[in-house]
Amino acid sequence: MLRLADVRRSYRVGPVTAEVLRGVDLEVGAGDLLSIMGPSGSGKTTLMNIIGLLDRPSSGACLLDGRDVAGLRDDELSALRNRHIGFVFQSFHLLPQLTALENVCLPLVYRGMARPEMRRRAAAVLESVGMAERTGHRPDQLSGGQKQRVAIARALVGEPALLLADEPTGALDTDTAAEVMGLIRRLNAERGITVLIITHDPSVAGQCARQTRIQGGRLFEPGAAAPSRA
Amino acid sequence: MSRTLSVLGANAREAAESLRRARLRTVLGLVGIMIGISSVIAMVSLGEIAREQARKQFEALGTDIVIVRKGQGGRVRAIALADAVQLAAAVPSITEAAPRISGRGQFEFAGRKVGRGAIQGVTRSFASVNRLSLQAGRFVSDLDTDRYYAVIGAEVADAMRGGRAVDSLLGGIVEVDEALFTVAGVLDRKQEGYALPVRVKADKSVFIPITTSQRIAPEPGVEVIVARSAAGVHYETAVRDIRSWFRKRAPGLSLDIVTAKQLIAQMESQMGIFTLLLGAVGSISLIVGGIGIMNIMLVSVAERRVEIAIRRALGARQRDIRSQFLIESVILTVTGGALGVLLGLAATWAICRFTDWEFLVSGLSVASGLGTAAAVGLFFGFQPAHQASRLDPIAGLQGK
Ligand SMILES: Nc1ncnc2c1ncn2[C@@H]1O[C@H](COP(=O)(O)OP(=O)(O)O)[C@@H](O)[C@H]1O
Ligand SMILES: [Mg+2]
Repeated sequence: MLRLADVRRSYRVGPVTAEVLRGVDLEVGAGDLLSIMGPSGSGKTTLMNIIGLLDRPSSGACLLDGRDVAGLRDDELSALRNRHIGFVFQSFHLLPQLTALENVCLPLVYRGMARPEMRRRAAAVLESVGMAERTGHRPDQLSGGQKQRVAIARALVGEPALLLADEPTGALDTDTAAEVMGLIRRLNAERGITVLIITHDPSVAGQCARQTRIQGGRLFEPGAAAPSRA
Repeated sequence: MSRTLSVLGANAREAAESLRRARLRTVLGLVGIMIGISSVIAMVSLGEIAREQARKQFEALGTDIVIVRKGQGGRVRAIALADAVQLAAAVPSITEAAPRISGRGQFEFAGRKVGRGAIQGVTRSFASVNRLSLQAGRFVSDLDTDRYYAVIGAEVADAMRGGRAVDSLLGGIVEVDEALFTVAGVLDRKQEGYALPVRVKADKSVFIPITTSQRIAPEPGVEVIVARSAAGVHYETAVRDIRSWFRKRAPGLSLDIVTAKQLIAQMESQMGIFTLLLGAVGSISLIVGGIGIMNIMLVSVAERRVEIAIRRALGARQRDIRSQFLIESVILTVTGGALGVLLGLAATWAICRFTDWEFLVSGLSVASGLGTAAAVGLFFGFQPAHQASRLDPIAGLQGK
C-alpha cells in the first residue's frame, strides 16, 4: 500500500546543504504494524512528513496505493491526507478551544460531511477508544492519556488506511503509554489498519511486528530479509 | 534568586501588556468600523429622509411658490407695502401675493398672560398662499385695513381658552403688546416643513391686518412676499415679470427672489455638503478600522500557526484556511457594523429631532451599512487569510 524508493531529503541551511534522508527504501503492506526507531535528529519526523504527504522528497519516489504522489497539487495532497492518513503526534495537537467531540469531527469537517452524521461518527469512535464519557470535555480538562485517546479517535474517524504516529507515547508515563499502545495494537489487529509508529522507546518498538531503524539517513530492518544496500 | 524573580516579573508584565494591547487593538478596530458604518448609515438615511421631506414639501407647498425679499444693496431701502399689495393684480404671471411684516410680542387674554409669540401682519391672501385653514371664525380680510382684528394660531388659542370651546374666543379681546384686538378667527393646527425660507409657525402666532401692524410698530417696509405663479407659467417668467414690475414701481430696489425649484436645489446642495462630510468621515474611519482589523487578524494568524498546521494535516485545503480567517474578519467587521448601524440610526434620529425632519429607518441604509462592513472585512481580511493559508504545516506542527 505504501512504497518509498530511494527517497532523499536535504535542507539548505545558509550556504550548506544537509542531507537528512540519503536514500530510504521501504515497502509497507496493508495491515502492517511497523516501528521506526532512531536517535534524535536522525530524520524520523522528516520521513513521517514525507509519508504523510506534508513534505515532498528532494528526490526519489513515494507511492501510495501504487500511485506516485510527486505530481499532485496541494489540494489533492490535502484530500489524500484527509481520506487515507491519520496522524497522531507526541504533543497530541488537539485544538484547545474545541471539545473532544469537536476535535474528533475535524477530519470530517474537511470532508464536507453533514453535522449530525459527523457528530454521530465522532461519538462512536470516541466510544471505541473508551472516551464516551468525556466527549464534551476540552483538552485542558483531560489527562495526557485521555488526550492521546482523543487524538487517536480523531486520526481514526475518517477511516484511513494508514495511521502515522510520531512518538505517540513520548509524553506519557509508563502505564498510560502501555494503555495507548494496547489501543493501537488492538486497532491494528481488529480493523486491519496499517500503522507506522516512530518511537524512542524499545519496549514500544518491541510490540510491533516489523521493526526498523533509521541511521545515517537510511532505513534498516534487522529482522527481515536484507533490503537492497545499493 | 532575585534575578529569576525579576525576569519572571518582567515576563508576566510583558504578557499582560501584550494581552491588553491586543484587546485595545480589537476595540480600536471595532470602534473605527463602528464610526465608519454609522457615518454610512447616517449618510444614506439622511439622504433618503431629505428626499422624502422634499417630496412632501413639494406636495404641501406646490412647485409654484415664489418668495420675494429685499436684496442686498440697491438705493431703495425697502419693499413698499402699497407695491406688495398690488403685485398680484399688476403682474399677470402671479396669481396671489401675500406680503408679511412680523415681530414678536406678549399676548394677554382676559387679563391673563398667555405667553410670547409671533405677531404677523398679513393680508387675506396669506391664508391661501400658505394653505392655512380655520377652526372658527374668519381670516384677516381686505376690509380689515387699519382695524384691530386678530386671528389666533392653534397653540396660542389653546392657551387662551383653557378648556373652553374654540367658539368662545370669537369676539373676545386679546391684548398684544398693549394694543387691543378683537378675535376674528382661530386657525387649525399646521404642520410645517423645513424647506421654506419663510417660517410661518402659524400655531404660535397671532395674525393681524398688515396695515394695522405697520401702525402699531412702524417698519420701513414689507419683510417678505410669498407669491404663487399662475398655472402653466414657467417660474423663470414669473421671476422676470416681478423684477420688471418692481423696476418700474421702485427703480433702484434690489430684490432677492427664490422659487420652489431653487429651494429644492439649495436643499440638495446642502445635503450634498452633508453627504460629502459624512462620506469623508466614514471612509477615513473605515480605512483606519480596516487597517485595525487587518492588524488583529495578522496577530491572530501568527498566534494560531499550530492550529493552522493541525487543520492542514487533517486535510484542510489552503482555501479552507483562507475562508476560515476571512469569515472571522467579516464577523468582526459585521459586529462592528451592526453597532455602527445602531449608532448611525441614533445619530440620524438626533439630527431629525434637531432639524424637524421626519425620522424613518430605511432598509437600504441598514443593508448598505452591513454590506459595507462585510466588504471591509473581506478586503482587509484577505491578506492575513491568504498568509494563513500559505503557512508551512511542518513548521507549524513543530511549533516553529
Ligand atoms: N526545516 C528544516 N530546516 C533545516 N533543517 C531541518 C529542518 N527540519 C529538520 N531539520 C534537520 O533535519 C534533521 C532531522 O530532523 P527530524 O526529522 O526532526 O529528526 P527526528 O525526528 O529523528 O528527531 C535534524 O538535524 C534537523 O535539524
Ligand atoms: Mg522527531
